[in-house]
Amino acid sequence: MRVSPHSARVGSELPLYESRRVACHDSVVGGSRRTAAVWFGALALGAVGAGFGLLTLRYALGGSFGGTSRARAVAELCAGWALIAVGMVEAVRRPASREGWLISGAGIGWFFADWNNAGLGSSVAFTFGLVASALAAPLVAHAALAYPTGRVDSRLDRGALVVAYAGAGLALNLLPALFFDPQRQFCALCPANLVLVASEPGLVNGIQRAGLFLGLIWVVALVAVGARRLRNASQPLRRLLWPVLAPAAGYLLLAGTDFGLSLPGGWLGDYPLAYRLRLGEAAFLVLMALGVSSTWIRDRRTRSAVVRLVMDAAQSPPPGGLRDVLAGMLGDAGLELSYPVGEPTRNVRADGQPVGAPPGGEAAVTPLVRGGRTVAVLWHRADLMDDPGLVQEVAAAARLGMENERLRAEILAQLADLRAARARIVATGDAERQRLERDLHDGAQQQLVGISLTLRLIRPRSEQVPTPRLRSLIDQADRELRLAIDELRDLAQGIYPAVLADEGLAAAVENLADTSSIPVTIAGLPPERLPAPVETAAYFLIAEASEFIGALTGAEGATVEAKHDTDRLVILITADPVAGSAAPLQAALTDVADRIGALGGQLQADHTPGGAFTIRAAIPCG
Amino acid sequence: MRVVIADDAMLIREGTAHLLERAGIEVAGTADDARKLIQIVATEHPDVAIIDIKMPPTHTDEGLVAAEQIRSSHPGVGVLILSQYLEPRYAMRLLEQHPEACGYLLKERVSDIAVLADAIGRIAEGECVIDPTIVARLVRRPRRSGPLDDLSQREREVLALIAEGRSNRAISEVMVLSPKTVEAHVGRVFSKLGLDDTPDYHRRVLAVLAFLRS
Repeated sequence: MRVSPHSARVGSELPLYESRRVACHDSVVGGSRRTAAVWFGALALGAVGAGFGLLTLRYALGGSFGGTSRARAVAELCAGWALIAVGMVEAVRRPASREGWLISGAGIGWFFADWNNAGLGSSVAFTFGLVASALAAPLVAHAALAYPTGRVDSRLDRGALVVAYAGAGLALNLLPALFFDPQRQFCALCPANLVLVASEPGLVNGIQRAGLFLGLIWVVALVAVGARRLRNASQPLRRLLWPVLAPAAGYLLLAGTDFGLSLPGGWLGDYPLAYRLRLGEAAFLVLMALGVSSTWIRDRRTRSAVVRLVMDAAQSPPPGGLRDVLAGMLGDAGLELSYPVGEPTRNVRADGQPVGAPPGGEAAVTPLVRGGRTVAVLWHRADLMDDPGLVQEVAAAARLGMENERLRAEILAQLADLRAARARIVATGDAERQRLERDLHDGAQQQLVGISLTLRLIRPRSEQVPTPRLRSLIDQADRELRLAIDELRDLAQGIYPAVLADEGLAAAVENLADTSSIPVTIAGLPPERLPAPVETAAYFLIAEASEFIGALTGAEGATVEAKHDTDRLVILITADPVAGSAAPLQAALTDVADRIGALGGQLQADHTPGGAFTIRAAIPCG
Repeated sequence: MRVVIADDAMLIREGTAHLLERAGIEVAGTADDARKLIQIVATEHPDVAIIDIKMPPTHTDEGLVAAEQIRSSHPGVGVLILSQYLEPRYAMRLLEQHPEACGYLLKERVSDIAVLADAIGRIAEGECVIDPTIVARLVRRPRRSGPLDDLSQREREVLALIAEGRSNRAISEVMVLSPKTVEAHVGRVFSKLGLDDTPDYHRRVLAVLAFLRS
């Protein structure tokens, strides 16, 4: 499963909630070739870094006038190698991010300081030390401020970094190097300076002091922007940032102390405490490397926790399904998990219900794509994206559960469609019944009445001409017309009682009780109007039940009660006690049961111990 | 006697008008919808308005609404609803609002000119008239218990005739009883329904309503 950032792949029905920070959300676009390139690059960098570290130990430190202690050597290598190694792993884990390379770069830059060393035998190495020795601090700050995306988004952060790079690279390294001739300036044994332009001891000292003073300023500025970044970060991002930013700040403050202590002499590191300060710096860099790697451990912990939960969920699905599990794991109560189903595609929840817009505007959309197909869509708090591993890891671990849940959601959605279709069929049938009733009453019956009237109008005329046979024929026709009108009325009433549509359930049932074959007692009916399908279903249930109770059970009477709860109509029909089984009654009521089922309701016919039949139905009135 | 007729079926409207005029009842105007009916009633002040229960535009209860409106704004005009429905609910709706000078007959009565003319006459006198078919159905209906349980068979028959809008004299003719006996029956019906203290005129209507509601 590939978790891709919010993109146009999201279906058109899905409202697009622009994720504010999405670039950190990696996708493994390009497949294995790119992965191989990243692996190769990382390994090459690792090899170069490791070699450079050893080289530094062997030549730079080993050749130092002051010699070196074992502790110093271990500290130097630990700090540099730790950053390089962590950077390598980070580069492989998140190939689209530059962060890994930045961290490794800081690790290599850490070694540069050791090349600012008069004891080196090579003028090339010596010159390299002159122009690069102070770059470690800006490189470490860069890696920290760019964490975890590899990009420095804030302009203030970028400005501070530019000043730091300039202050270190120019004011502390290149500019003084141009005017530093070691042979003439206190260091007769030093190798040659290959970038020397002119020997100006006073200028060198002036530039160096200015650089150290400037260094104090940019170190403080970098620590300040780091603190600001931490303060402004969202909760998940802060959790992620502080293990990296705090050690980096510690390192920078020691570097600043180094600048401050060097200021009186005008030469960087030319004071007694410099050795211990360097050990402290190394310790902070090791901590920073540990800080980066701690997020991997947390990712793994999160993942294994989710895997466990998902396995639990697969065995006994929790009420809220995977959504609740993910919402809990990601700490986002408003999280929505939906599955695209059907053709044309629509997004449904695990229960098959269509998903609406998530509460609040600041949601990010993460489609979970597998084999080029979106299997699920996560709507979550946008700031979860700040922790790039989190959504990815959690979603990947939940894969199996999602597949299952998607299948279930699809079936539930189809079921909902089916139920809606059933309700539509019943509604269409009812509308047709009602139309027929109106046609019979307003059309056929009116015409028959009109003909009866016409017969009446011509009858006296036939009286004038004494033709008794014609009169008796007209009278007979009139009688038959009246019969036809009565039958038509009964027919129309049976098809759909007009009083049900005009006056409601209570009026229709009262009328039903008037004409029923057995005495029907009405124990209670809701006086208010209910949705037409509910009224119709309830009416036909009561009509058919009272008819069948009389015909099938031999009961001498029945009681009808209908109660309107908040969201459903409950109908209870009790027949007078007789011996017998409820089965034929239940079978006879299949049509009504279907009608009630189409509305999402239920019908149950029972035979109570006392010998009475009860028919209980509940119809949702939503 | 002056009436107006409202029915959207031309054949019935004009046919009824012909028959009524032949029976000596003046037809002051005809209308094919409720709006025109109200206008004609306002200008012609007939004794009775004969109204089809279903009229344009919705063909649901325009006739009933118009009848209620006429009874409210023109108390001197009686209303007679012609309906294709046997359900007493519609008649009750009319009577409960305005329990005077109201009638509810089945549509096919229009060709039974004697019944129609009789109903119009009695409505004009302020009585209430319910179609005999509906009354008969109410009498026949299966029942367990109700306010009419205390009534004897005779008294129930008398009540049914009251509901049809017949006067005591007419009842004595129909039942072949002396007017005194009928009066005694009617008195017992009223007292059994708890209507002793109301004036005679309203008692008849209230008794009909009790009958319809039972």
